[in-house]
Amino acid sequence: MAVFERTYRRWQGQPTARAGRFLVLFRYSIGEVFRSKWLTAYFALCFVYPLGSLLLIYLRRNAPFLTVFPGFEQAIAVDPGFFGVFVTVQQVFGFLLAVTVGPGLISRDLVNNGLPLYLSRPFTRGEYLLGKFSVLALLLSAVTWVPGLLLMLVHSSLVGWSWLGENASLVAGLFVGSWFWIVGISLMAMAVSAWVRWRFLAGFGMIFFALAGGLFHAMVSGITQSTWGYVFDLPGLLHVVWLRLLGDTVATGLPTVAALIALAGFFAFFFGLLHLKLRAYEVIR
Amino acid sequence: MTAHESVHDAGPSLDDGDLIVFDNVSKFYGEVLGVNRVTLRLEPGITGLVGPNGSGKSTLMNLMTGLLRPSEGSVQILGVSSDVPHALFDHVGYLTQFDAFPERMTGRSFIDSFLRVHGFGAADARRLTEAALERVNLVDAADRRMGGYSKGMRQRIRLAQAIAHEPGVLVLDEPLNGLDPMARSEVIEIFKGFADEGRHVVISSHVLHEVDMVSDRVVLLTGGYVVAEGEVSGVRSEVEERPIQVLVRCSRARFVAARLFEAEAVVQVELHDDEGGLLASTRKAPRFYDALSRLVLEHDIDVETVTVADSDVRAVYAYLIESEGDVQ
Repeated sequence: MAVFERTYRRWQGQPTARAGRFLVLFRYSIGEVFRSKWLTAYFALCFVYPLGSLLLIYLRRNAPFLTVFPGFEQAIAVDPGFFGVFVTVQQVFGFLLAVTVGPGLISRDLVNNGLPLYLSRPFTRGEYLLGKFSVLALLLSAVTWVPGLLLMLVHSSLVGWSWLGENASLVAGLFVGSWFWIVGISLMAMAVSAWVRWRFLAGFGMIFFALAGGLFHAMVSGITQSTWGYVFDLPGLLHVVWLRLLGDTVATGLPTVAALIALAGFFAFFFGLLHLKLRAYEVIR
Repeated sequence: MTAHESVHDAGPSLDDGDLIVFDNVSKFYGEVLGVNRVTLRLEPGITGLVGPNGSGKSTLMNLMTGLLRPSEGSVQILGVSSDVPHALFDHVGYLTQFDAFPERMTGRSFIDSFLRVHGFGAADARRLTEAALERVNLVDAADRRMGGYSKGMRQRIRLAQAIAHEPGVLVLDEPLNGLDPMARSEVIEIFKGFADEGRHVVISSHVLHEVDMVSDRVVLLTGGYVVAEGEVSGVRSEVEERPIQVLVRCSRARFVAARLFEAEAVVQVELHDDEGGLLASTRKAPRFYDALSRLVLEHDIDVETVTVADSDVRAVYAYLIESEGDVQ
């Protein structure tokens, strides 16, 4: 009779906390992103406008400069409009950053059939997504709310700290609006990455999705003579919500509640796409 | 009692905590059949899952690894139900059939990263990574990028990834695919080493021969069903002894049936109710077809149809045997 002697020893240690395991994916993915010199250079380029804005904020309170250009402080108002332009510019830079980084995040694992390797461990699809999302969240935060809040802090330090309290809604609007935008763009990038395995094509897919939404928006708005076309335009919706949160009420006539509901619809759609694609196995029919 | 002290017989003293148990398991993907009514009790050692593409091997493996839940029935791996996959994952190491990698990653970081994802702390992950690398003999190449690895090295690093967390069950999907004889031999030795420690090593293949070389037992699958299981020699004889059924629609069916019996070409015949045909069971197909041909020619029998009614098992077996020519 065959005898099986169990001589192997199972690991008896204490596992790490579940909450932090997604950071393993973050660490490796972010390392992968910055291997590319071109991407690193582009990431640096994303800070040109914030640095320019910082310079403007500084100069409008710089006495020697104001003696040469006395009207400068009045010409450059640091108000919701100033930060509205800031977020508009940074959205473009951030979107292109997401177009560059996003497509490879999930498609690489799908091409490599790497999902079973993650999901045959105590690691869920949600944690996997969180790990991938955290990469985009960090990069997009770095070009949106982080420099935006720094500008506000610098401005407040120059004009008096009471400015922050007086403009609390502007500060909150920048932060919350940034996160709406980051989540929306990241979900779109991950969904496209999950469905389009060729990275280059996935990048174009994101641009196409954004442009097609804008085109559809223009068509529907033109036909209905209203602003309801926005509900088909994700970048447009995100922009509207962001500007509203910054206190800009003239951006569009679309009710804020309608914009938020439409955004929730987009988010659900992207989650649905990811749910369909992120499986540890493939059914061959 | 420590793990090192526990000793098990292969006989009745093995309890479910030592076994892989499938109890009447079915898995459907919508209307598509994955596996149907599979009941298995696998003991430690090397088990070969063999069957053609689409036979249900990968479904069975995904059920074993906890990546799939059964539509019906239950799966228990070393006493842990697949209903609690996160507990199951600690017991199972999985090597997928796909030979693709994050090419810019080094072998060491590949293993280390998955251990960290699994929940091992940095120090444990480092130690287990080194142990796994030593086990597959890849310590020297561990800091090279995997894009530069040979096929055999890639297979070994993937194996290291599967065994690094010291699982009791190793599930390997087509692990010998595309390996040259040297690499194949190295990998097989690793499997044997694992089995010798009292672990389960489950290997899938569509080539019976390669499973035959390494397995203590095989499970033969086709069309989602387990059609035979046991030692390779037992499966071989079981398939060979199984009669095939041939459906014949012809004139004078009663006469044909009697003559086929006389010729000892059949073991059983069922006449159709309308006597316009018969269902013959034979273990000697060539003799059956010879006898039928002679009858048709000598007695002016009109034949409408001759169809093999259940060619599946034999056809699969023949396919698996013929596939041997594809390897080496």
